[in-house]
Amino acid sequence: MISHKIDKTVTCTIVGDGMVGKSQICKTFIGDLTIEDYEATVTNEYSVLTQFMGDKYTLRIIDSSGQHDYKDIRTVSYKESEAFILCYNLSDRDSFESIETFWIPEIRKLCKKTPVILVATGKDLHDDNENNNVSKEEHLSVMDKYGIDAYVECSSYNKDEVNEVFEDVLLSVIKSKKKRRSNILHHLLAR
Amino acid sequence: MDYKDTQVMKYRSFRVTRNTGSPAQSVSRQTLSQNRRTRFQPSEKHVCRLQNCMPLKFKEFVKSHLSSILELPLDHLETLMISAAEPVPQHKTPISFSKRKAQKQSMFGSDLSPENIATVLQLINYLSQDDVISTEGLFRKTGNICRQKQLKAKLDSATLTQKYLSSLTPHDSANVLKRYIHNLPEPLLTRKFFNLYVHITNISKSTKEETKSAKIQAIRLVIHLLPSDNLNLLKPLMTLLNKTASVSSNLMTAYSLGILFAPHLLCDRHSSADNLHSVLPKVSDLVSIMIEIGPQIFSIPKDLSRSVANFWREMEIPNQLYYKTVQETTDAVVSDRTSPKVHVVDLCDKPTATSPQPVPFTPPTTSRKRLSSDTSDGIPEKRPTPEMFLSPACNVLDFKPKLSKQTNSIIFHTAPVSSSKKPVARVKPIQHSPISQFLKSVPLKLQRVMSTPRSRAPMALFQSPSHSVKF
Repeated sequence: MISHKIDKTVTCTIVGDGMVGKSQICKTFIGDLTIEDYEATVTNEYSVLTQFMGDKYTLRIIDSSGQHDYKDIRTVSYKESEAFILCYNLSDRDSFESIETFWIPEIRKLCKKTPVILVATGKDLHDDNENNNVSKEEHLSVMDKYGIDAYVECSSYNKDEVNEVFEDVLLSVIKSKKKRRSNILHHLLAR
Repeated sequence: MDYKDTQVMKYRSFRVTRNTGSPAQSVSRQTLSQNRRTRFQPSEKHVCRLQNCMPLKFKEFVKSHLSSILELPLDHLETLMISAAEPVPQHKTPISFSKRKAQKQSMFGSDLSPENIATVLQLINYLSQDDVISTEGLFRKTGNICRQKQLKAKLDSATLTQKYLSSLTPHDSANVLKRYIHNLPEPLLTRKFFNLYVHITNISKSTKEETKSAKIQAIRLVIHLLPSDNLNLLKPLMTLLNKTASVSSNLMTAYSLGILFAPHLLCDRHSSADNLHSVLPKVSDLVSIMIEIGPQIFSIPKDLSRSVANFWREMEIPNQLYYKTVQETTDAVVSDRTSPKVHVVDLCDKPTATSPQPVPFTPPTTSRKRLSSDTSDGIPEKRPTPEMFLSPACNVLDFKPKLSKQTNSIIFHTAPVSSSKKPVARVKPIQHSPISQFLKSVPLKLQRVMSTPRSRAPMALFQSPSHSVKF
């Protein structure tokens, strides 16, 4: 049997375009529900203790800048992170498109196999009439294309939905670790 | 379209200024084309005049003011700038020939030139329209990358129309503008002064307001050291950003804009990520202050204009030293630095005037006298300031070269010499000179030795404690 002993700290980075609500997701997850002005982030780091499937984990969340030009600073934390939360805004089509054109290439360039979780924010703002909205088929095709592990729709202010995001993060991290271990086993057995 | 016409006009005005060549002129032209014609204040006039005639001198003024604000010695300030001006370690990536050609044509990544600025101004003008500037998250949202590429191509080929611009989202143009600034080989606020900016961020005074005002003062001074092309772009850009911050409906604060623009405007393109990480929060704070005050940042600080005006007055009437004005502005270190430190060397009445002395004493006095034992390089260099003597009755120094008895020596009113021994020359201390202050504190016996210019050895004795003396 493979032992289930895992490192209890999980590092994840939140990426995505500017003003989609990355920092708000972090804040909501911590429990800071004050609504503040929109302010741009350089980087921020949060450590959160959580319980998941009976184990205790320390989630280290790195809140990165959504500006494409802050590349140097952002990519420092890429190497050490075990999962990415890739955000876009449901009512902002541009932010969805730049996932394909910018964010996934940037992540995959540095981290080939790290799990990525797609998060659509602004569920509360979702408006079906608008032309800007992203349809379900589109994000499904993106998920298939780039091997994205999970997709969550949420509102940045809703605590339950945000919790779901981080549950998915932990789940996919555990999965990928198992996978890697079994890969090593296979590798050894094949010899 | 009249929009296009104005663009063409602007472009032409750039052309003209390029031909005339004078950098200050192009600046003023730029401001004229931007705003309505404004008359120069007299203080500004003085500064502009200095900037045109003696750019180096002007820089000296600015630097000395800066050093007083930053509380740094002047030499240290210079080293800060020089160390930053070292050649960039360039990471050259191999580019194929075909690509190299294409890169040369693009305005993105090439140096600042009046033509490029004119094209970028189109974007800035578009963005500062009222309905555009109120877009939510302007400059922060990324827009569509494909559309931005098209826009870049249009800018490069100079086929941009207003219609095309309005078919894009404002985010696209805002980002192309950002990208242009980012791709400049040298940051807009120049790499040379980067360390200076970091120093400015470290200013701390007792109250918040004081700190802020000191920072603003320092920024204003540094901005006057920038090349004119940079100013040409910086002025409209700052006006735009200031306007963006003042519109509340776009949810952009000056603080956010500062964070977004700090790496573009200030930071070295080649510094490491760790370095950037430590510096950025401070620097972005600085940029947000700049955005907050907006175009006012280009105004000339009062202290500077005052000391420049003083300088001109001194230049125009070289024989009159305005002691009063100097004393008034003693708090500004500059006036002390730049005004000549005059030590009146008065030769004793008795030996020189009455009896023709042997050769070594009298005739060489004109050549040998020292105006000051300190280096006073701030004096208007070309005009040799003659020996002066402060007559107690009036403020004006009267200057009396009595050429008596065919000797070359210049004779002054003499202070009563109480010494029993006759010194060859005696330095009569002027009140506010640091050296004379120091002289006062020295015992009388040594004073006499020191005041004879030839006796070097006892002077050397006193040099080591003189460092500890606070002037």
